Amino acid sequence: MKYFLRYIKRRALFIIPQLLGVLLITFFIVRMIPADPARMIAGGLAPEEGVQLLREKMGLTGPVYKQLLIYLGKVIKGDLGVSWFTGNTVLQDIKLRLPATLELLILTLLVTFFIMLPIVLRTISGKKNIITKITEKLFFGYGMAAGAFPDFWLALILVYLFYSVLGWAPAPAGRLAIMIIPPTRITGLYILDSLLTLNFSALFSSIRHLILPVFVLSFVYGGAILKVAIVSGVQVKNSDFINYAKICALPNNVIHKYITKATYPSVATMSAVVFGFLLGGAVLVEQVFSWSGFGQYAIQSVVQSDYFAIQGVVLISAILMLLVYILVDIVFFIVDPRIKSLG
Amino acid sequence: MVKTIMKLRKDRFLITYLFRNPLQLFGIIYFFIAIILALIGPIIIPNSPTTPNPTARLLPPSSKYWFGTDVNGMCVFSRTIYAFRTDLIISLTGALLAMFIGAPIGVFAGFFDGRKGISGFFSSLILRIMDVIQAFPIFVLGLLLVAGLGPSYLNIILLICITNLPSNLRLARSEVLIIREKTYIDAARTAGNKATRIIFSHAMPNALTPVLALISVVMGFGILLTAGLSFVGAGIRVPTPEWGSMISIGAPAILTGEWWAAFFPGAVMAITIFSFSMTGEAITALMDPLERVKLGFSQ
Repeated sequence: MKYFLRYIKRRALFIIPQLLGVLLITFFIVRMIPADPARMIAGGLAPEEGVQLLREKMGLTGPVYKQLLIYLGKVIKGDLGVSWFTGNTVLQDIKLRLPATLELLILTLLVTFFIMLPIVLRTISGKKNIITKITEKLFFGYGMAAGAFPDFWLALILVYLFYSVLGWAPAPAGRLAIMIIPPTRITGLYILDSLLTLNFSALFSSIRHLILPVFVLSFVYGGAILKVAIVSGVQVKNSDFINYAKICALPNNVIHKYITKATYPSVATMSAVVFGFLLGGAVLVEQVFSWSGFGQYAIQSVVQSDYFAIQGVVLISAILMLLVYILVDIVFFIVDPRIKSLG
Repeated sequence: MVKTIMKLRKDRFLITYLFRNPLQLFGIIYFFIAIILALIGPIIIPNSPTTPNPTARLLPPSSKYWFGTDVNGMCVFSRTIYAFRTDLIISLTGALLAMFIGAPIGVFAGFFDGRKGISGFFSSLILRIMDVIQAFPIFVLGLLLVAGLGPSYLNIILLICITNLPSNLRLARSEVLIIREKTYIDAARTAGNKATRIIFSHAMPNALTPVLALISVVMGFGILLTAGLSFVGAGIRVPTPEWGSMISIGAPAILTGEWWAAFFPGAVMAITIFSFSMTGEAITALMDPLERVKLGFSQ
């Protein structure tokens, strides 16, 4: 336990410099955008002195390092600035948009871990019955295809098939049907909130709207995670300690559990990479389904040259990703006894 | 170059392997077709890829317009073929840049890792910088670059290069970490070679093998990134044919049943990316001595 805490402390220490690095880079790139936020808020007809006052208030004057210090000071207090485009504080906007994307991502990862992964891992474990044979053939084709399909294209084709042609799926117009009021906001994740408030019509509607996007995302990105799992699973299967377990006549499902546990590190790493990509990358699928998510907010703030929104988006994404990487390291720590012993 | 081709012709392992793995053979052939199309595509296409023709809006595939026309009346087939040039140039340049910058630095970082003094310090510093780059969500970084520097070929190439620097660097570095413990490095050092000469003549050639296989995968990913950015409007500007922007132009038509404008660019793109990863797998297998043994050839 002592080793665990020391390990976490060391990792946590790295976060601050990394975050600072991310902020620094964002700061500089954002200031290259050829637009003036103060002028945009004040409007074209405002007098120059007024705009200058506004600039000072927003912290946009002076040398860049001073601006950075002012911004950092505000961030520590929780003030990420005001988005000139939406009029809300950036924190409010993000709190509104982030859960939509997070819901998609979490469900995608859950589907990958609890549906796709177990099925696929069965195929390497040795029992050669008809199910594993079919799964092997399917997985072979799937592994080829999964990484090649552009997710937004697949989403479009599926919408065409299941909405325009078959009429089974709901219209790709957001997270809920138009008539349904969103559930009381506790976490922002509609499924969770509607379960907690026992709002079953909202629950049903949000699940209906989630099926296609989550399917597309898990099909395209789950493939990468599965590939990595299979590779490390096969490696482990041929390793000494599994052979020893087999010689000791341990039952097959126990051996299967060992193999599964051994794939956790690579699966965790790949999932972190996928999560990081999808934080912004899910916007493509979000666009097709009109999801009003985090990625769309990022695009909109970039297109509108909304300095504080852009900085806020990058900051929050970087924090999330660094947290996810720490989670991955914790998984490594739990699963791999060698790391524990090295402390 | 000629000697390599002569060696390849006599290499029966190559031919046997490719026929045993028809998918990878298809991938390699398609890869070469893609490159040829990127080079001569604009010359051989039947219709103009950028002149709008409002009288021919949204025509389904026919003998005149093989893939149909899109919302502006432009021939989808011609635009899809032209887009080979756009997407391939961007992703190839980005991937090559990432490799030529990332791998050598990775080799140096791996060789000097853990040493006391300035070389060891730089090694750790490079790794920390890669961590910062990897902490950026890729898409947001892309949007940021495009916002700050403007949408152009160069900026997307830059984005692909930056996004793939960490992976190339870390791959080369981990290979070198293993290589530098090997006896032949010790032998070279005993013979009096300076560190840089050891790196260039011995460590680097052996470390670069997995990096080379990574290139085609990086290219595939680069195409996805370019298309994704163009789909949301933050990539290649509209008249220039590019698979992602073509899909975004064709997307609204899908809801009313006109599927061809968005389907064909995406299908071609998917097959292209697929063939790139097949090529990558083929290269890895062909360079692996164990594969030769598996097929019954001695080294």
